[in-house]
Amino acid sequence: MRCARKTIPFFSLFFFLQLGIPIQDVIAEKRMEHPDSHRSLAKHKKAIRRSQHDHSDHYSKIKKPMDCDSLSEIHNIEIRVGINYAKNGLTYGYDKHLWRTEPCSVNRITLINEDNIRHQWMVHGLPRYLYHHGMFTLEVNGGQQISGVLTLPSDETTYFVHCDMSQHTEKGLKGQLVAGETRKTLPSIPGISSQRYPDIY
Amino acid sequence: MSFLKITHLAAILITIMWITINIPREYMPEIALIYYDKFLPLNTYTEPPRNKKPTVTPINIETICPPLYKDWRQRKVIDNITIQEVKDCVPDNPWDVAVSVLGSNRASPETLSQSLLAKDAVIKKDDLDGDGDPDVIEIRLEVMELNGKSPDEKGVIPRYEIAPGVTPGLWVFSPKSKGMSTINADSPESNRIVRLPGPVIRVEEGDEITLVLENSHYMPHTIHLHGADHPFETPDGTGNDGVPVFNEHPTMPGSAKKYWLRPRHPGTMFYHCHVQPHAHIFMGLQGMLVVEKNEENNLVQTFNMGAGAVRYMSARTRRHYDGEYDLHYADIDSSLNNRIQKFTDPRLISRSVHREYNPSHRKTNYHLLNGRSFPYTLKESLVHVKPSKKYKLRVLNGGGSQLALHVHGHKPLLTHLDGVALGEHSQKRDVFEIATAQRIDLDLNTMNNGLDSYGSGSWLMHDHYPQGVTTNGIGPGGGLSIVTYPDYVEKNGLPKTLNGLEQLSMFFAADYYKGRLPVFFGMKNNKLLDPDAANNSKSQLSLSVAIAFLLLLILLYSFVWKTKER
Repeated sequence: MRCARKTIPFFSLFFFLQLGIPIQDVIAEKRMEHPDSHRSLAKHKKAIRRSQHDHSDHYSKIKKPMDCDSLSEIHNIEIRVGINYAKNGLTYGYDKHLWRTEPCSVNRITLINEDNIRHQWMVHGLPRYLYHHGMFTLEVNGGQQISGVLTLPSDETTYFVHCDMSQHTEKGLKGQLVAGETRKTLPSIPGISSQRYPDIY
Repeated sequence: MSFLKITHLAAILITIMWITINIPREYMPEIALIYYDKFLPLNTYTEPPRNKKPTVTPINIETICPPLYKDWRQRKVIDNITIQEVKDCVPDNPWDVAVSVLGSNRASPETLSQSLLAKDAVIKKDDLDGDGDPDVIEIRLEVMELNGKSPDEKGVIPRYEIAPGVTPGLWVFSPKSKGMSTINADSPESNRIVRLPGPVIRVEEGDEITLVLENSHYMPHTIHLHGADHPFETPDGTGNDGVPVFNEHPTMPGSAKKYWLRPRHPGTMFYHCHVQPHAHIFMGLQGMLVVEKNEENNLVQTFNMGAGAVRYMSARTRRHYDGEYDLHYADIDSSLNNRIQKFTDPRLISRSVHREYNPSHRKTNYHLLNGRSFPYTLKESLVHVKPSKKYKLRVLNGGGSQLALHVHGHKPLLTHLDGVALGEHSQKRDVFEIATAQRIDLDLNTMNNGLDSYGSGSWLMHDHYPQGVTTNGIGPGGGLSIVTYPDYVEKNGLPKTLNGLEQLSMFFAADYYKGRLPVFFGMKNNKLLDPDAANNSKSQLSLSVAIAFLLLLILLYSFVWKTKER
């Protein structure tokens, strides 16, 4: 009953199937004008701040994993993505490549895109009865942000996170979401683990 | 020398004789052959090796043209847009076509949900000239990589086969899509939109077009609007010709750039990246740009993904033709394209592609029609025709080599060169020489009069340069396709063959294009299979050398042993 400390009664959580489709389809999001490459970064970031607002009212419908008696209260995870976070030898990056949470947790994920192209934050390995193909996906256009709610089952494990646009995973948009105390680490996480087939310099 | 006894001499003699008798004649020097024939009797007849039966995993034709596509082939009315029926084994998704025609902002949510196009892939609004169709068009392209390297797994990602088992590295312009670049989480195969070539972009003459390049790749890129009427600068004063240094800063990874055009002349044009063009164009960053004549109520299919049949023709084309096909030819030098499969670090890729590759050594080994080589051209790029009709073929040579396009059984009429009408200089020919980057428009008339058409059939259409019909030296391959009439098409869209579809299946085996299968192995009474390797002369030679070596070793051992004894 490790999730019982901070619980939300199940009766307040209605079934809400997240089908792995962009969450902007189901969560009202204030849209910004799409910036072009000539807009200054400062103006760009200001626009991002302007677009932020609280979505907590939208999270009254969450599907509960079968193996969890109860769920934690909402964890807020904010992720920034863009070329400015790329490590040496890579093109793109998240501001962090490791996020920690708990099993049976409810996580409000906010993805803030500082580039002018779309990016994703996609989690794999989730129960397929909860998520289409076992994936949770946030996809957001350049200069915009998006939020979604991710509920995790009771497994203490490390989930593979990435952007599934062509070569974005390979060029830096790869991370791991660690639920619980597991020490499992995935390969080629920027700043954390080495590649299986590294380049020879 | 007293220890060199008669037994040793005998052993040496036996060894030499054994080698002499058993060495295959083709490996003997000419002088030795003379004495050999003079003093030694001919060997008794030895039967040459038997045919080796090739081991081929049977290909199920059903997997080539899955039943799912049957529904996609049919004529459909989606959001009041009539999508024409096509016969292709693998047709374009009709909902992708509908969104391309209506615009992603005007398509219904149900239609958009069945398409892979993003919500802002093509925005259509404002009827500026009051002729009943939108004239302000915003088109978004992304840059994708196909068959690149993964630092974690062997094999390429996302995977895109141009022919069975053939996966050269590619960079492509892609209509802005949503979701994954692969089919799903369990497959490395690229989705139907992320493919070669860049989509054919169709606009209307006089439209106010903004073309947005969202550079989702790891290299800088631009778009050059080759042949299409565009100003040197955009209205906001930035470069509009796509040429680095002289006109604009390349669009860096993660950035976006708007190009602007309002074309005053219709025609078949070309767009491509102009950053390090000797490499980027041939990595795959190219597509066809078609400017249609301005007419009333003239919606056009903005994206024709993967080129081929146009499922929603413009008003003028509908009036004058019974069908329209976009044919985009290209070629690949794998010694350039496969460099992206060696490294993950973009700095190493850049050094290899831009500084170490020398285009003066360019040798093309893959030749493509609409992003595929034979036999995959049979799935997507057949030209389906009916007797006594007229079809428009728009042909682009995006390759670095000359193309000599020959259509069997027909003499099409050349009507336009590089988007300019030839008028009274139009010519009927059966071979069309097309320079690199050149476009030609052809009228394919199927009237059986002995000139325009010789009648129904399954007529080949191919480059007449020898390399153009091969895939890495193996034929049939390259951009070979077929102009085919209804009596010569199977229900699943593949062309009929003399011995049924099983005969085609041999070409769908990856081993065929790796040179592991004899080219005639699917034919009846074939005596040209490979000989069984176990009995061929090379292995006979190897055996001779091995036995001789063994005999010499025994001799040497005996010699050393005797020396020690002393």
